[in-house]
Amino acid sequence: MNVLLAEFGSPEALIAAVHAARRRNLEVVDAFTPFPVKELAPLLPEIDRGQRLVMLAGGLLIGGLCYLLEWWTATIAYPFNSGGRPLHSWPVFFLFPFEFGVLAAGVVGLVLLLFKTGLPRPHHPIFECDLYARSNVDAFLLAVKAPAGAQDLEAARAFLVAQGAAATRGVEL
Amino acid sequence: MTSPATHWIEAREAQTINDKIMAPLLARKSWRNWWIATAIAAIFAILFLLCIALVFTVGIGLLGNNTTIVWGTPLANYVWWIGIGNAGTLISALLLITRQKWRSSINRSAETMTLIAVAIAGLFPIIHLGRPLYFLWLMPYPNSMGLWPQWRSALIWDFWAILSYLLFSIIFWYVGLIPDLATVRDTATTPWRSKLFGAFALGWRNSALHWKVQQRFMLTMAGLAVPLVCSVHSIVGLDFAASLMPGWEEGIFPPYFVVGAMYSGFAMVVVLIAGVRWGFGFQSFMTKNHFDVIGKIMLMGAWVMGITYAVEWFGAWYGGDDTERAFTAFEFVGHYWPLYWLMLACNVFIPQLFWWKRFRVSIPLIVVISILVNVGMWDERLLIVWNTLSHGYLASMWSVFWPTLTDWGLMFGSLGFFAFLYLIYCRIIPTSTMYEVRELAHDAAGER
Repeated sequence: MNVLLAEFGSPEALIAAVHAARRRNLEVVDAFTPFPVKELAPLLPEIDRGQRLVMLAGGLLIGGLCYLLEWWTATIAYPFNSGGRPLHSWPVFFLFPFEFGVLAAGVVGLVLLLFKTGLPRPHHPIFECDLYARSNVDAFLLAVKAPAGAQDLEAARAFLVAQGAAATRGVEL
Repeated sequence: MTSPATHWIEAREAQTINDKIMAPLLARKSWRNWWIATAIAAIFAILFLLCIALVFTVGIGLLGNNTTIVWGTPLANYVWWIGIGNAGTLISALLLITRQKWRSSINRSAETMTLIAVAIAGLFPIIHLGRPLYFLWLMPYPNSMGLWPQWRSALIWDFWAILSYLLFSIIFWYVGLIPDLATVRDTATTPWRSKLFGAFALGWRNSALHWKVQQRFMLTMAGLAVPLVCSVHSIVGLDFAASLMPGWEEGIFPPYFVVGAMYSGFAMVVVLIAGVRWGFGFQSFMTKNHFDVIGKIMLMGAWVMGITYAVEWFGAWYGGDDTERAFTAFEFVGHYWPLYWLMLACNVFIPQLFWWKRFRVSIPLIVVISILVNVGMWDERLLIVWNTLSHGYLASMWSVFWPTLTDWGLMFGSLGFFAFLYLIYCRIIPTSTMYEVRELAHDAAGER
C-alpha cells in the first residue's frame, strides 16, 4: 500500500492532524510514535478487540486441565494415602491450577499479541524511510493512504503540511 | 492521587533521555567502576557456584542442618530471595494499575531484580534436597515407575508457584522491553549490535496499532500479576503455616509473608536504583522524590511488620497454649535472642526514621536503612526456620543451629551472584523504560 508519511513535533499536533485528515476523507492507516499516545488509540482501527476475553478463556481452559490432571493422578492413576487426607483434596488442588492458569493466560496473551501485531517481522519497509528513526525520539509520524492521482497526492501532501507537518514522504508499506 | 510529572523528572529532551539510558550499552567509555564492581561480584558468584558444587558432590552434611533443624539456611535464603523476587513484579504491576507516574524510571530495575532473585530462590530448595537429581519428580510426566506428584505437598505448590511466577514475570518484563530494544536497534552504530537487538526487538516499529495492543496487554498482565504475586508468596507462607509446629501454624502467615516480600523488595530496589543512578548519572529522572515516596511506603511496611509481630505475640498469649507461649518467650530470650532483637530493630524501629523527610531524600541514609531492612528481613526468615525447629513440641529434641562455612558461602555467594547478574544486565539492557520516561518528559514539558 502506498502511504504518505507526515512528521509532527508533538502528540497533540498528530491528533489534530488525524481529526483533520478524517474530515478530509483521507484514510488514516497508522501512526509511528515514540511512546503510546492514549488519545490516538480510539481513532485507529480496532485490532485489540477480544484480547482479554481470549486470555481469560485460555487461562480457564488450562487451569481446568490442570485440575483435571490433579484429580486423575491423585484418585485414579496414583492413589496415595497421605495422613488420612481425602484423595480428592480439592481445597489445595486449586493452588496449582490457579498459578498455572494465570501463566497460561499470559502465554495466550503473548501469542495473541504476536499474532495481532504480525511480529516477529525483522524487516519492514518503514525502516527504509529517513523519517522513521526519529520516531524513537521525538517525531510523531502519521501514515495516511496516498491518493491515487498525482494531483490528489500533491494536494494531500500540501494539506498535511498545512496541518503543521515538518516533512512528508511517500512510502510503500 | 498522583503528583505532576514535573515532580518525577528534570530532563525534558527525549534525545537526552535516550542518550543517557543507552549510554551504558552504546557509549565508548572505560566504565572503570562497573568493571571493579563486576569483578568483586564475580568472585562471590564463583564462591556460590563452588559451594553448590560442593553440596551436590559431598552432600548436605556440609550445611549446619541437623536432625532437629532440618531446614536451616537454604530455606531461609529461599524465602528471602523469593520475597525480593516477588516485590519487583508487584511494585511494577501495582504502580501500573494505579497509574503512578514515578513508576517509569524504576520499573525495569524492579522487574529485572525479580527475574534474577526468583531464579536464585529456585536454586535453594534444590540445593537443600540432598538428592537434587530427583527434583524432576516434581513434574507430572508419565514415567516407567508409575509415579505422579503428591499434590497435597507444599513442595509441589512451591514448585508450580515459582515456575509460573518466573515465566509470567519474564513475559511481563520482555513485552515491556521490546520497544526499548527497537530503539537500541535503531540507534546502535555497529552492525552486530543492530542485528542482535533487532532480533530481540522482533521488528517493533513504534506503530500506534502495536502500541495499542502492547499497552492493553501490559495492563492486563499487571492485573493478573497482583493476585499471582500475592498467591505465590502466600504459598511460601503456607509452607510453614500448613504444618503443625509452634510459631508456624498461624493464619496470618500468608499476608505477613506478602507484605514482608514487598517490604524487603522495596528496600532492595532502593539499593539497586541508588547504584544505577550514581553509576550512570540518572539523577535527572531518578529523582530524590522517587526515594522520598519509596521511603514512605517502607515506613508503612515497617508498621505492618511491627503489627504482625504483635499479632503473633498476642495470638500466643490469647490462645493459651503453653507451647506457643513458651515458644514466644524463647524468641525473646532463647538462644537466638540477639538476632530477634536485631530483627525488631532493623524491620520496625530503625525505619521509623522515615518519618523525617531528610532520611527519605538523603540517598546515603535511605540506602543504609534499606540495607538494614534487608538484613532484618533475612534475619526474620532465618529465625522463622531456626526458632520453631529449635523449640518444637518435644523438649528432648531441642537443639541449636550453627551455620557452617558452606552456609555462609551460599548466602554471600548468592548475593554476589545476584550482583554479578544485575551488573551484567545494566550494560546489556536499558535500565529504565525509555518510552515511558520520554512520555513523562513530554508530560512534564506540557505542565510547565
